[in-house]
Amino acid sequence: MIKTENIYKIFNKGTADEVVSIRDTSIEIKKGEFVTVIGTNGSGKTTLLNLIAGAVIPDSGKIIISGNDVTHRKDYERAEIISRVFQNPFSGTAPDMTIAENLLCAFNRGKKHLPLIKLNKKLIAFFKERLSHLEMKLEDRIDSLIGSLSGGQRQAITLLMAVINEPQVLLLDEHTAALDPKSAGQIIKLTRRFIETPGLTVMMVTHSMNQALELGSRIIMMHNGEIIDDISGPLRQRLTTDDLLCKFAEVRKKEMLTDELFRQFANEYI
Amino acid sequence: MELWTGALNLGLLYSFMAIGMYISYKVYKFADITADGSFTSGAAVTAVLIVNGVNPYFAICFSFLAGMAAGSLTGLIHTKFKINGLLAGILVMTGLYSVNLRIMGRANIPLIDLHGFLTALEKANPGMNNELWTALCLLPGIIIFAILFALFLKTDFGILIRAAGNNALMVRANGGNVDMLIIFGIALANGLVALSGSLVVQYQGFADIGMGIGSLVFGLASVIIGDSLIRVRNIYLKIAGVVLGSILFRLLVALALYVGLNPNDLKLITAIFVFITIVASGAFSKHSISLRHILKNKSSVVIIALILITAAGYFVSKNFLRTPASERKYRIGIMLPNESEIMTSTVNGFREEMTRLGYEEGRDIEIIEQNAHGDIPTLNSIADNLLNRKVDIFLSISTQSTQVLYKKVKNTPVLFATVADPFTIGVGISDTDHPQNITGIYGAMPVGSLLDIVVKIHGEKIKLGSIWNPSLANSDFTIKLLEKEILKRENITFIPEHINSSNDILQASQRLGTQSIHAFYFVNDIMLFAGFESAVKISRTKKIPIYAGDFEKLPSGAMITIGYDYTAVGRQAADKIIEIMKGKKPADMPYEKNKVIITGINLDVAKELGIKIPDEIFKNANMIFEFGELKIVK
Ligand SMILES: Nc1ncnc2c1ncn2[C@@H]1O[C@H](COP(=O)(O)OP(=O)(O)OP(=O)(O)O)[C@@H](O)[C@H]1O
Ligand SMILES: [Mg+2]
Repeated sequence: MIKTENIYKIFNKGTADEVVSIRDTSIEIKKGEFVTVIGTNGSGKTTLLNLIAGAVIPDSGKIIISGNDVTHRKDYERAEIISRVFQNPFSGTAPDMTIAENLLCAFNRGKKHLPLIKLNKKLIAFFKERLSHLEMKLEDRIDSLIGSLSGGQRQAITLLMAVINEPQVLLLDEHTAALDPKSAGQIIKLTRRFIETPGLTVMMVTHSMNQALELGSRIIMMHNGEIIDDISGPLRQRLTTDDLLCKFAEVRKKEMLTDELFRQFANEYI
Repeated sequence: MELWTGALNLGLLYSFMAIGMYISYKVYKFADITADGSFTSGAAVTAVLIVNGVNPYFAICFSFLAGMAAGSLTGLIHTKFKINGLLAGILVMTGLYSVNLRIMGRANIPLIDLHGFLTALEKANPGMNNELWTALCLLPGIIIFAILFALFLKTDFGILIRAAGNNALMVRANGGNVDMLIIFGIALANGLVALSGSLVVQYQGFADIGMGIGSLVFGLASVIIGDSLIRVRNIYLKIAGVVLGSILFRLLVALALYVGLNPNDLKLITAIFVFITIVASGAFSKHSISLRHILKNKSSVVIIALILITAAGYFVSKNFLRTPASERKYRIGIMLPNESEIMTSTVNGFREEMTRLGYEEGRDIEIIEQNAHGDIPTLNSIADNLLNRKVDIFLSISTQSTQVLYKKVKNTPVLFATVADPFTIGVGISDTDHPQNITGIYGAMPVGSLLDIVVKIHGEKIKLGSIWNPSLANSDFTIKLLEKEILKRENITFIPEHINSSNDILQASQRLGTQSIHAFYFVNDIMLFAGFESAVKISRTKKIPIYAGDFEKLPSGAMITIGYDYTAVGRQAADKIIEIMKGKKPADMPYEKNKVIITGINLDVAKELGIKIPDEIFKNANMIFEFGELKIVK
């Protein structure tokens, strides 16, 4: 489904601020797989997702989605296949527009947005039905402005928008990180529900090791712009948080991290 | 009545512009100053097409497209080259100035007696007041347009356009090409601005290169007034609010004139008004909850402000402006487009002569003088205001004032003065065959006499240089006149240096200085005079004498001045007005030429440049500048 071949992404090339965010990365993700991505801050997780979504174009290498080379296609051209939920709960929705209007934009994803009025009673009834799955009573507020909702509610709507017209790939970038624990739990519950669609390929970046282990069938660990570990199959099934900590310890040895940094590391992840 | 219906019509015509600004400012949060240029583009395209006999409805469509082209350029620069929106707008606006001038070919195009879309409407008028009838015809058209536009914003595409201005990341994630959407939105906005330009040209009967200046702020003012009045989320009402804002804004302008405010202060007042409304809306939506409770919301603040201004206007007009019917004096309305010397000299000459002939202002006559200070739409409002004040006669100073009055005034007598040539703007065919309510005094620069003097001083075979700014009506007209006159004389070579603003005068003079010209003619124009000093510098170093049109320039370093005495023109106007006061009809009064030519010589400069002034010229001079002193010799 998704294949990257030796991709590189270097920001601010040739300046003092040069950063190699993704270094010679090749990965193949099969249709229907659920991959969780973990890694330290700045290890390149977001950049990898952005490369796959088309929000960032690689300096070299190839990206192939569904057998098509999409390396130089812009994000909006890939939106037909890929949908995204961002870390910032305010990024995925337009605040000065109503819930219905936001849902309509997502409903038209990958289709032509024609100068026709599609937002009729029937479509609104459909939107209301979908909103009722969020169990936030938002179906009664379909004409309210998104800006009047809480972060958790907005993130729930973004998630609903991401799945409303059945994408093939769903990219979730720490989509619960900015929420309070209760809302985060709600969003995770919804995520589980929505990804049940057969054939949907999911990549989820997370900072919570529990989330990484609870969800998905494959774990990718990133460090310094590279995939340093990729665990799937029976091995993945048996994986525990302790195993993951061991992995981090290995990284520590390799990179000669100080003990303090390692502790910080462990704290962050459990 | 005319004042208010005239303002209503302007408001209706400008409401397309306001709807355009609603897209750029409210949807894309971007004060798009391209509007200042695209408004004129719309005007220019329409004027040129109509003059060439194109159907006015086609002309409107082409204007719309021209505006869209300008807007898409701004959008393109903004999105593809990542240049800040305001800067992109400034770039395109600046470039458009030249383009508009190219389209028009000159600074001012009259459309008098040509078919505009309003001509057909006027013909169908069942005998109502013309302005009122126009308003009645425009209103349904604009209501239908506003509804269609609101519907457009509710379509899938319209929703995406709005979303692109609200959260670009969300739109990209959902498959919208944000750059294209922004380009399209800004193009559409400017298309509508140009549409307004096209309509206003047909309404006022001429296009002028300067007519778009200030569009951005006026458009924003309309949007902001509308937005603070209509506080609901319904899109139909929002668009209605913008149209209402445009009308209210023009009514406010009319009100300010009616109350007797100086039109010059209008721009300052507008700027302050827009500022306060923006600040107030920000303050109310975020903080001061208690204030909000008192004043409910900002719409009430605007309404209170409007009521206060209206009340103040009413009070002032009741107490100070109206004179009881029995004491009503002959009322003269003077209309000026700007404060250039020739205009103000005309008015001064007029006022002095009236007093000298025993007509004391306040005792025997009443004079209302209003100056548009360079803003053409204000001339329309001034005309409406003077009509509303029931002036008995208009004293129309300059070509632009006369164009506006010719279009608007059919019964009240109009006396024009300081107009170069009334026939080129379609006001009459000959001195005796002219509109029945209009007469006047005209005359272009006496370029023939100028050339005679130049030849007498420098000999037959000479090079004459000059500076030519085609965007200034005066400069353009005089240079063309001069070219025509030079064609008649074989031995004179004419070198006009092209400039775009008074900042270019120094460079242009330097270029002239390197071309070994014998004489440098400096055209009378308020804008050009701003750079007179730099021409004088070159005159000194290169020993080239300056010839100018206004004797006021003698002390500043012109060697010879030759031009009409505009105070004398003012005196001529006084004589004419007194004749009309005594019952003569303008229809029976042939146009007259400017009479008095003033020749001035600066002997100090002549000595410095080593030029001998022939006795014949010396004897005929009216003014001599010598040993640093100006003397009137006759
Ligand atoms: N647009 C950009 N311009 C410059 N540098 C960037 C840009 N985006 C990312 N980077 C750099 O690339 C590196 C990887 O960033 P990225 O956001 O992918 O990390 P991450 O793994 O998502 O981190 P986090 O866990 O903090 O979200 C960082 O060093 C970051 O500073
Ligand atoms: Mg990240």
